Amino acid sequence: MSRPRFCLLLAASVLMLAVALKAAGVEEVPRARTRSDAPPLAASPVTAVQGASQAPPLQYVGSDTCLACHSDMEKGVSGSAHGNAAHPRSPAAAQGCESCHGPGERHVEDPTVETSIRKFTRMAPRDVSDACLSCHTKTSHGLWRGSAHDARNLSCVTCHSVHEPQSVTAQLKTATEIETCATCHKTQALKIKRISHMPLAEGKMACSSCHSPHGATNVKQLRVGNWINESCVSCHTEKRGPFLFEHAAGRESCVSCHDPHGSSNDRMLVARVPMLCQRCHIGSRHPSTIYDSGSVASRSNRIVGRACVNCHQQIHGSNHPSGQTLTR
Amino acid sequence: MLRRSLAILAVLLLYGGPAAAQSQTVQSQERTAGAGEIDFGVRVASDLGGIGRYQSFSDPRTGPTLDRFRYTRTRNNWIFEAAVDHAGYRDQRYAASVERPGKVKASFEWNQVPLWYSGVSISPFTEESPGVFRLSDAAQAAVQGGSTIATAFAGSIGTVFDTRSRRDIADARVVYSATRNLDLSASLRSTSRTGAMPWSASFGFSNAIELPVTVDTRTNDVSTAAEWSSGRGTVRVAYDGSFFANAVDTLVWDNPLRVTDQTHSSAYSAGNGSSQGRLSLWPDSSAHTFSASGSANLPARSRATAYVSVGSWLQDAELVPHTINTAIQPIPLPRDTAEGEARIVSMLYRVSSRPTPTLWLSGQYRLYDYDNRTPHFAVGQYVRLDGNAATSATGGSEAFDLTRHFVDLDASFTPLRFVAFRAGYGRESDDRTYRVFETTVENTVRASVDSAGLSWGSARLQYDYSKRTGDGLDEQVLSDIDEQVSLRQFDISDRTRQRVSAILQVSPSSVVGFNASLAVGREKRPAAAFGLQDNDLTSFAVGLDLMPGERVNAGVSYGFENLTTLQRSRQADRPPPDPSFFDPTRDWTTDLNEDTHTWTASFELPRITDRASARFMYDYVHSTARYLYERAPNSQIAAPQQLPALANDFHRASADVEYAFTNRVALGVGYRLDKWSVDDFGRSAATLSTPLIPAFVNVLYQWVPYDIHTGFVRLRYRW
Repeated sequence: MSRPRFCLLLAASVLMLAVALKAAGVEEVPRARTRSDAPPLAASPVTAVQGASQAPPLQYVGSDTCLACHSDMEKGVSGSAHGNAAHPRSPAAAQGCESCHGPGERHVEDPTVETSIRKFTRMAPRDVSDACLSCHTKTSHGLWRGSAHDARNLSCVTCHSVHEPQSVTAQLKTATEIETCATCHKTQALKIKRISHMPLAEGKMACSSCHSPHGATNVKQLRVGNWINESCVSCHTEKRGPFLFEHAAGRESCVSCHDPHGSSNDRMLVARVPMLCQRCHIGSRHPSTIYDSGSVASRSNRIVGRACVNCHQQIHGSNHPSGQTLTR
Repeated sequence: MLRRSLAILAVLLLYGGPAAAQSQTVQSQERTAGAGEIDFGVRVASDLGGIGRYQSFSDPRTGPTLDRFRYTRTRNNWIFEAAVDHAGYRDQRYAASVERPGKVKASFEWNQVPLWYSGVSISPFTEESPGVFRLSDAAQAAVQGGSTIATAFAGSIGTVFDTRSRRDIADARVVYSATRNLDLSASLRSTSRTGAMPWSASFGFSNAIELPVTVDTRTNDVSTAAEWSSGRGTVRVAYDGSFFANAVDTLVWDNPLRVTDQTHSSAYSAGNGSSQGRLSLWPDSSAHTFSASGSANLPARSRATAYVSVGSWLQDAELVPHTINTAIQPIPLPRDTAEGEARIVSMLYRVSSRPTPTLWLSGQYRLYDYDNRTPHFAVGQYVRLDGNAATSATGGSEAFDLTRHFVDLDASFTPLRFVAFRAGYGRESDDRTYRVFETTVENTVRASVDSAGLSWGSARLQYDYSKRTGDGLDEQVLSDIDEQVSLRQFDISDRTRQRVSAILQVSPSSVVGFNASLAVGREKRPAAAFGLQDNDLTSFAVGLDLMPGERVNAGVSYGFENLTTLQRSRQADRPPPDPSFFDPTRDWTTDLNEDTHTWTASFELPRITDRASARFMYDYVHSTARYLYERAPNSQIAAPQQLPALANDFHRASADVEYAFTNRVALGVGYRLDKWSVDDFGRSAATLSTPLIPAFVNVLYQWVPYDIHTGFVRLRYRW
């Protein structure tokens, strides 16, 4: 990239950062700290009622009042971060149940009115997310808006359950993270079960080892880096380079040749070698020759073992002065 | 076994037993609380023998187990947690964290991940020093004198050994909340990988050698960040550093075909050439990334986000000479070290908005610029496979640069509370160097309908259509390396792609749930006379979950995936101007048809009685693949003998029954079956039957079918 272009974009970035700092007057969702605070979210049922009537601020009734009828809702919250009053940012440290559900005064007066309190199961998904994001502002949560999941109208409660979590961590609706992701990403989840796979079934990795479901600055909601390869080489560091001689397809993208979710081929390749290599290498002699059963019977090193990589072993890049064909 | 037992014993002693935890009466119940779980017992696995792959990522050996330990203690608003998994085994994990919520959290984890290749490795090579593999000189001399490899090295084969490596990962993190809105964080992650892995090393086209090359690497990753956030927006600055070091950066190995150095024009084939080879293994490298990001909440429920990252990747390893073959006149190196450097600039600008409750808009621009600044490494003469000197076709290195621009615009309309209609447009414009296209542009239109939050379930449907076209065609880069100039490499070739995905989840009641998904993808590359042309995927899955009561849960699912590809090639005897290079009757195609069926079933009895529970699981994956060759009409090439089908059958079943004597103590017994059968012409035990195949000295990295039965008894105590 040219220097002027870079400077222009950098300046734009600085401007954007300045906007972030300047935006002090636009507090989107006031945190419920005092009894006189208005409940957040203009589109929420509570605020809609308020806005219509121009009534004075609703009053908080306290969690004990809520639990008098909804005692079964306490189980999932107590013991979680939400229920930890020692955490200054937790709902328990603010208005308890009403930190999320809004002031309960009107609901106590007439529970049959659907809009008397914020019920997350009856709210539009993006309204649900707005409520959660009023507190969950840090790390990847700040990248939720505009993310792939946000674009598909998912909300926080699509995956999480505050009151009935099934997982040990992250308050997921299923027992494991993989099960949560597999709810929609079936194709990928089934690939994990194949013989060539990342260690997800063994519990050494999870979907979130690579992906950030709340949003990311990388493509494919990848948690680390700025391009697919940067995510891969964050663990497979030896393949990072830059090398003296590189494989163009590898520099382009690791997933040109590998399927990170799993495969029936060795090394999670998307196809068997040498056929995979022959998708791009069509010259003369060995790259463009058919290797058939006769080649297998004669143990041709072009098809048995690692096939092309028997000789081109530095397929990810070579630092050898004679490594231009990635054989040294 | 003894070490494992001692490790488990040590963990138990350090823990001190649940009684000790319960005896904590110094603090009041409100201020002090402890809870935990320990799970220990004995595991018996059928003979693992030489089965390597089964032991990848886990350590299933017979012996005493401490499979799970969890401890949580809260005291004076501090939370302490400790966890142990698989103590004493190669996949053990230890973790601890201490947290004062909202103020500080520090954690440490030690995690081991084993990786197996082969448990039946055998080799005529001995490792003289790390990365230096030697053969018997007498045997080398015998082969050079006319003896066969199998005969000459028969007496040199050593004992069976494992080819495996292991990652040991130490990860320490701390997050300090300086104020309610400001977090400071730091982390250090150190990953060592040690052991051996099969590695290919060759001296020529007719000869392949596989070695159990030593792996001894370490990666240290350092991260620091400061993040300020509130309801108004966020600002974050961070540094990430990564440092990779390889203790064995050169591989030297003897040539089984020769004991003396030699060179001439055919020295890289048929065993002529060098008596030993040398190649460069992974070089030391580092990466540094500085990033800053900010976001601001704006009116009309809008949010603007900006992210900038500037990084550099450095690699300046010392270069080895062109060859170790003493018969070849040394070729001067243009420089002594690699001087590898890439500058990476990445940016993301995103604005999303909900101007009305039913309208959602999002637009973003992303830039990824990989600027490879490694100086050109001029190579006039180079050495082929340590055999002979040759003239470089490209004249040296080609530092691939990439610049990617992404623009995405999406609008979503939700006329109904739980149903969203989305339309979007995406454009990816990429600039590259040293590729057949200088620029490619891919335009994508997409539409989706998503319902979520409905009481009966959800339904999702998405359609994508994209078209990629290249510009600045430079066929010279293909002719320079004697490739067919009408080849279009599939990763950047002109392409149309259509994808449809649908998901349906229906839960008419709390007793039953049904889900189905479908994904269809079609890729066409009509402009590619050679190379990958079609790449089609069809996948669907259905599942049923039953929860008739608290005493029974059951679920079954079935998934199917079909992948078909078509690629075209031409079998040429010689590079141009040889007529065979231009002869269309020498064209041939490969048609891949791969089917994968996946079944899963689970059956749980959480409460057979008030004290007993049981769980049964079964996974089965059946995969077949067929590569079918076809020749052009009136073909001049020999009729191929079609390859046998590839097949994989992978079963995993488990049964786990637990009886709780009290609320705290439970006894569990379990059984697990792992069975894998495979037909793979490239890696089967039949193909790689001995380490001394005439043209292939290998370490028996095979795909060995297995049938493992594992039983365990465990005692669980919770407090």
